[in-house]
Amino acid sequence: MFKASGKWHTVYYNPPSGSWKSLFLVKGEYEYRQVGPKRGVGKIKRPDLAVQILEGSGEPPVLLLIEAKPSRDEWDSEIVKLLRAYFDGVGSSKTSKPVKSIPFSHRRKMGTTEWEELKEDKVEREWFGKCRISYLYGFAYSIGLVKRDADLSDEVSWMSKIMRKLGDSPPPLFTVALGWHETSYKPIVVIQFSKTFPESMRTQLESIFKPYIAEVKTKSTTLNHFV
Amino acid sequence: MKINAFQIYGDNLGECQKLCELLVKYGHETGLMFQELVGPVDRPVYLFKTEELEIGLLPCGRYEDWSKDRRPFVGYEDPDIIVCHAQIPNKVGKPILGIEFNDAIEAGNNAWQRFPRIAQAAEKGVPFIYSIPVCDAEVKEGEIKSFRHPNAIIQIAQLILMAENKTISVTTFTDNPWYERALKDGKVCPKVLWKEGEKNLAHISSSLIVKSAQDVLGDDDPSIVEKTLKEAFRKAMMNMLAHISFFVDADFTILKGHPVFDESNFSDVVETWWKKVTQGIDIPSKYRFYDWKKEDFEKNQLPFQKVTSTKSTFKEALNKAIHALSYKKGANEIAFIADPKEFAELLRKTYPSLEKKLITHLAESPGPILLLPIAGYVMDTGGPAFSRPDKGVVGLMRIVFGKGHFSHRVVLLYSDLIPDGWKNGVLAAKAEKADSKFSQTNNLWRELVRFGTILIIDKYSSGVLI
Repeated sequence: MFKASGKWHTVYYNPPSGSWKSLFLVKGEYEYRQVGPKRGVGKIKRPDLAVQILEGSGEPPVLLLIEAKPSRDEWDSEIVKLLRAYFDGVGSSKTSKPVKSIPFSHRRKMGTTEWEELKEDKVEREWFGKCRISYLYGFAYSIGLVKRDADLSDEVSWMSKIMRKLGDSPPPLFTVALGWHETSYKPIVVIQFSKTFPESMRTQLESIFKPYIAEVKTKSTTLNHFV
Repeated sequence: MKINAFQIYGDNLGECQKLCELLVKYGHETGLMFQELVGPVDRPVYLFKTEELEIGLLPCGRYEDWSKDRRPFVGYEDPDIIVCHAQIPNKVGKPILGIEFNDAIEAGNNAWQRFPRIAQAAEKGVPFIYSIPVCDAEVKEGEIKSFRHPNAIIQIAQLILMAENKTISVTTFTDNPWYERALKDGKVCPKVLWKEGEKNLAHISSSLIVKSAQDVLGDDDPSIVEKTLKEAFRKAMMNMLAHISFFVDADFTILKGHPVFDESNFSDVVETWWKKVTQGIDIPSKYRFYDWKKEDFEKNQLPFQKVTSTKSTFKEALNKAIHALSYKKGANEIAFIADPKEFAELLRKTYPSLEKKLITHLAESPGPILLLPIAGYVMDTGGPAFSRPDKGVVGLMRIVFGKGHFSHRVVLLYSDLIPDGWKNGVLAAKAEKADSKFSQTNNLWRELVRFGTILIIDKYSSGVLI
């Protein structure tokens, strides 16, 4: 769905099927490739999916890091910190080198297939490490098959609760529960954003998920996506 | 018009869709034209048509999401993809193709860890495509450690699989950003047309899908699809042969200079193998490189040069002695024992508790004995593992050397992690029937009992005739 929107670029997604080690970031008209840390050693966590917003890709990158789990019970408030550490590092010698510290090895023009090697004297190898990156975070979990008139307000309550627990200045986080209608198998999602999640990005994500967003009645009103 | 339905099962939905997307991109070149996506956004059906047929591909997602009677098997290991032709309502379709996608070349003997699934598919008569980058680099934290090439023994083994099982089993080579550097480093064959790799995979797949649909209908002219399949097969084979030819001196010294890998014979070799897989016509003796003779090993006891075993936990005394017989220092996974009596005596001294009948059995071998010493249940790093590389080498050796020519095949298994009940595991694996649901034992034992005639467990100084 991210890919189909044409507005997001896949930086990386978790195997199987995704690359074991390559990350792809965009700057201007080029896509850059790096052989990243294979897995997190120490207090870092490789996201299940990392995407970069393509709009304004000449500017400092905005990355959305998503962790996906089979159940909401696997939520851990440390996740945001761990995902970011995969890219930024934690400054400990016992931890894998983060993405930011590893130079790019190749680049290619967007839409082409041939890679050009970036030799060691190319300053472009280091551009990502010198950027101030904006990180957004996502936590996705499965709710399985959903009955036609199922009450999903419990998901909303749970999302609200974990957002509240993140304090007055929560990280820019969205949570999404994904399920399927029991009979049609059409996807259905419940989605919420923390109050610090940038408005423009929220609009983008909502437009991607719009056809599938569940109508959830809360105690007072129809679901407000902001908490 | 009736839609011919094909189900695509895999390790995950992404890989199922990867094949569909390749068919959308390249299928039309072989007459399989994409029409539209229908159904749920996260699991659509891909609709195609040919001049005569409508074909629907349904990505079914993960094997583990289906009960055992609702998913296909092409062996006791699952490849990344199994394509099935659904012919009977509410039944799993007939497997018509297996695919293994790799986006990196594995290090050391991990390179052949996935080989058993290629072999098992061939043994069930299911065509198989092994997709792998034409080269790769080992890069750690931004620093290049080395360049790698795919070990040609896999492609050599695929030639044997096709000859023995009368089914297609090919490698398609794909892009890798390190190509130019690897080329300079001599780690890639310049004649392999890797830019066409994904297209080649799609052409073979689409031809097999259309052919299967036509075979069921039975009233269409099969000549067009046979032509596209033959052309796609030819391209894959030419790349495989070029790759083997380039690396055979390094990867499989025993086959150095064999006429199959002589470029002037490539067209004839392709035609010969095509006739074998489509018509069952025997491979002529001049190309039957896999009919090993005793002399092959007398003049060259070092069949491989590249890959070391899981780093030697081989018992020092025995290792030295085997070395004296034939197991040379370093880079072999397998040894050819020229003197069975001397070897039997050596084993008797090293493992005094071995049963006498086992020693006698070995001593009576006409020779040479095939010896496969492996360190099981460990990774190269020394940690415990599920032994994918271990079972990989056993499966590979089974296909390359295991049939007919060596009546005595000994596996010497080293590991502190081998469970007490190993004999039960071996017997369960031995008793397992082809249609078992594969829950009784593990894949290392399964490969061991199929390869070996004798298994010796170093840890317990014990062995068994299989």
